[in-house]
Amino acid sequence: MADHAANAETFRLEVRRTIPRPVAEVYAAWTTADAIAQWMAMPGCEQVKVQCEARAGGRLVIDLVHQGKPWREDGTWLEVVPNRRLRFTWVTPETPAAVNSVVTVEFTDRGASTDLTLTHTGFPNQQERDSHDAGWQQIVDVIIAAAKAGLTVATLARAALELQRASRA
Amino acid sequence: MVDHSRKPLDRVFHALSDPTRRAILGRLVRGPALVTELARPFPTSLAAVSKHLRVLEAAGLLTRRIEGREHHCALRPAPLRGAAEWILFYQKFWDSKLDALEAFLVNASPKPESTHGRPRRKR
Repeated sequence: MADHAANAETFRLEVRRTIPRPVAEVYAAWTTADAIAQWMAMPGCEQVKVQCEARAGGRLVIDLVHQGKPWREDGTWLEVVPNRRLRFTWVTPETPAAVNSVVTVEFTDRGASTDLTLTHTGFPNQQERDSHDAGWQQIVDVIIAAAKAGLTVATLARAALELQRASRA
Repeated sequence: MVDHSRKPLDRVFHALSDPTRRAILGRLVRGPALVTELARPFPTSLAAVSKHLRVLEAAGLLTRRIEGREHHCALRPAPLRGAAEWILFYQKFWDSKLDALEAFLVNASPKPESTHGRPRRKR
């Protein structure tokens, strides 16, 4: 997993937050089953069961029932560096089979507060990962931008032209 | 949850997971092309490229019009919307999770001075 080149990603999305609590508290909320059950579970779900073994190779499983239907978020910790960095595989019933989904959480100690950067990336799965190429994230960004603007050949083409211009600059 | 059936999305992500197919899509973004034109930039055989074209067709990303011996290919971007929506869904998903994390931590141990502090930053 670790030697995946960044440019082999199928997609990458990033969310940042500054949490007004010390890093140890924020880290504990990410690695303690009781805490995870309280903030990570879907709002309004009926039953929540969290399994969390915060060590590389340990499991991270969230089982819940939402609107009468069971829902499982299934993961394995890949990297556990206290107060610094967490990385885990993460599969939900919505994850396409062709995607290996990995979440990275980076913690930056700011004293009374903590900067969090969460990155969710998809890699091609086992059979598909051997091929590496550059610039795919740019294409994904183009697809997302075009989708937001109403996806048509015209918006895609315009986005592709911008992409070419950007890569020449 | 995202309103789509899994199978078509699997096919789209599978189609997008190969650099040759992505390059073909990149070419088709600029306009329709003949199969022979699509195959030209690649060192692989025409048969290998044809295989990639069939994967793109199965994902609904490519349409083919046959005129005599010429196969005209065109991009059909609609299925990409599902892929983009899936990615956007998870963007919102994590955004709301981090909101919930912040609320959980702030409510779990409120600091007395926090009511006078600066407003919580939120993107």
